[in-house]
Amino acid sequence: MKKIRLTLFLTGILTSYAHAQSDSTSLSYYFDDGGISTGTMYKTDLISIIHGDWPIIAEIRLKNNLTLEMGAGLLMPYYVHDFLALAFTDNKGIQNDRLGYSTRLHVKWYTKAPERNYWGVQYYRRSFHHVKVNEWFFTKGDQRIIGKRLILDMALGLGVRFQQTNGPDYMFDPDFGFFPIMPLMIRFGVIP
Amino acid sequence: MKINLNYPLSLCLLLSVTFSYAQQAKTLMGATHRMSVKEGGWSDVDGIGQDETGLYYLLYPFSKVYSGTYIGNKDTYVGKVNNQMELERFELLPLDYEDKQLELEFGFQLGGNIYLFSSFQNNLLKKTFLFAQTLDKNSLAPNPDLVPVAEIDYSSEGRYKNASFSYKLSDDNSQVLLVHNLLDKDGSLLSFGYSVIDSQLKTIDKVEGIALKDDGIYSFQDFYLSPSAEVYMLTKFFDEKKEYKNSVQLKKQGVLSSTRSFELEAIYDFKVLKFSKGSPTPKALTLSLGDLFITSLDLKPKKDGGLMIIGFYSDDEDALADGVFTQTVDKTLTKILSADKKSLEGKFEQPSKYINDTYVTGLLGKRDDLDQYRFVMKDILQKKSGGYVLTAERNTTLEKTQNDGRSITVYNIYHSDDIVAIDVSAAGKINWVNKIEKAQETSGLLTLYSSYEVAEYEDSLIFFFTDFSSQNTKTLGKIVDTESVMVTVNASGEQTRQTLFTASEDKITVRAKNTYQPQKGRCILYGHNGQLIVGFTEVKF
Repeated sequence: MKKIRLTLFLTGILTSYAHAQSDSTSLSYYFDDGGISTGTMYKTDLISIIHGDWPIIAEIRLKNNLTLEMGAGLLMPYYVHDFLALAFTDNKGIQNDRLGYSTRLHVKWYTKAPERNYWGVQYYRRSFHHVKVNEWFFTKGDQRIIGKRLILDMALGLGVRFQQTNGPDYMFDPDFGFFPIMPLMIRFGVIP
Repeated sequence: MKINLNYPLSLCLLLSVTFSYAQQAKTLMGATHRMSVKEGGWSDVDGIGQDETGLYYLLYPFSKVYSGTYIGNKDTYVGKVNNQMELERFELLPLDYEDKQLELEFGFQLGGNIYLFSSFQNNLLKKTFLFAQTLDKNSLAPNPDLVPVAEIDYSSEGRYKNASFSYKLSDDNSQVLLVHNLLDKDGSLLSFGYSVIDSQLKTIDKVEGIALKDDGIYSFQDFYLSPSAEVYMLTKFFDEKKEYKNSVQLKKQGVLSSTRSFELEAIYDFKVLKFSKGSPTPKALTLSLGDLFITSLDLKPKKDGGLMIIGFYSDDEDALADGVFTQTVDKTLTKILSADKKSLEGKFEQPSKYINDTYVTGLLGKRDDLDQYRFVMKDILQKKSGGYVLTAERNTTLEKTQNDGRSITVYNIYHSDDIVAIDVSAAGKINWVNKIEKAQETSGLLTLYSSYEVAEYEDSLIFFFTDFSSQNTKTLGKIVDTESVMVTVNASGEQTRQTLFTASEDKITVRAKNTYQPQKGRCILYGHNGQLIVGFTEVKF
């Protein structure tokens, strides 16, 4: 049997016979995390910005493992079609040169609170001046707390998109679509 | 009728029906109680204490039991089973402080109190704290006496890593060793520490932030608490990181896995570290059997100091057990006081039931798949006579692929088969090695019903387990045919096997859940059928 050298580094060994709870330390010390575990998170979505939607998203805790994201965004006068949707269909994308708005709701169930893996269901609506786009999809994501208050949230979704042309444009370019989507989400945020 | 969906178990319909059991064991069976629960109720129970009025359990949701992702109820309940075996009461266990929610870690009886232990991750302080509080046995609610008892500091790790707490009670139930670990994503230890506390939660010994660093990697096996509050740690040491990572992968795949004995090659050594109260430097001992390879072992601190070591060895370059051994070590970890070994004589090369071709036909595992196995051990039992017993079960995990023409499903099949019992005298001599035949091929939900429970009653050992027939795993987790068994092994090693009851599809399959009551000479068995039926039954000796 090969002889193996044992090197044991002990760092920060503290041996004491103190009582488990310091009398001078109140319980609030242990639980005061500046609201990180209970506070509302505010985020934006990098991928949405690439597609022309500049959102502000708030994530509030409903239970220890259950949260709700609510977001509203401004659709800028440009649009970059998501390549995954193009891969699924022959949809030619949206020609957009005006402002619009978006809304989204996302219910997230964390497998381990208050961060890490989650499963979710998201509703995402974009109202362009001539097209309404509604999406429903399941999400699987991973949310990390970086440092003390920064959030990185990455997720992949799988669902469907309904797309309908509105108003007079419908007369000239009737564009009604229903197709599968696989949206990617990369969100940065902060816990104030 | 108004239904409160927040409390799914409030939908329970209590049914007073009895277990179906075999004719020959009627005299063994005491009171039974059975009830149905709504799907989404608990999936497992753990005994946390007992008194003259009954037993107290934690009732776990699926998310606590399964290692994989599970979306559903995460609430844990506390229940009390009275002497008539009725689940007299169960209550949702709220663990919170003001608006902060705590994560339940474990519960147990220490002195006269039942303590609940829960953790809170404070991301501002970069620490995870472990708290203790007592349980009110009348209301089954936690008392507002929350006390911090341990903490894990992860501030040096950049971001949160997996904090893990475990415990080990002293034999006389007067002290407890609380161990806290910080793990990286591969499950290896970044740091660890421990506290020894008494029944009033007073800290007797405490060590924080110990980090093991070497050219190889230590695999944490277990901690031990001696009667004089000395702390020992058993480690498996690998000098090849690649091989170690393979073993970690095995660990993550095994639902039945413990942290012990997962490697099938002779690529590691066992080291024992001893931490003494007031001494910052542990003593280390690398265990050796000369030319023989130690495949797995457990140890027990002796009342008079030193260690009793019982384990398995291989006489070639694999990690398959060929025999069992004992060593007694003095309290300074410098002298081997006694040593003994005994061959297994090939009795465990294949599970006993697999020798029968008819039995093999219905099972998913093939005979050759089971050549590679390991022993999963329970803690060494110290007998009242002064001797020791180590029990372990023959375990194999197989990966199977099922192709129905439309989809391919990959799933694991778990084998927890024959039990080995090693009886050792107080001086370290092996009295006998016994094989208790058991057949448990499981997958999916059925895995929860495998393994066994062992207790000492008078001079005998009593084993409880459920044998599964060859018809079970064909249905991938649906229980169709089981036999609940009690095996008694007397001081001479003679076995008596009795069937407690048999269960078909609509009956409960039992799991013994560490609720042996020596003062009453009985054991309470917990039973479950899928997620729908649960029950408790009493076995009198």
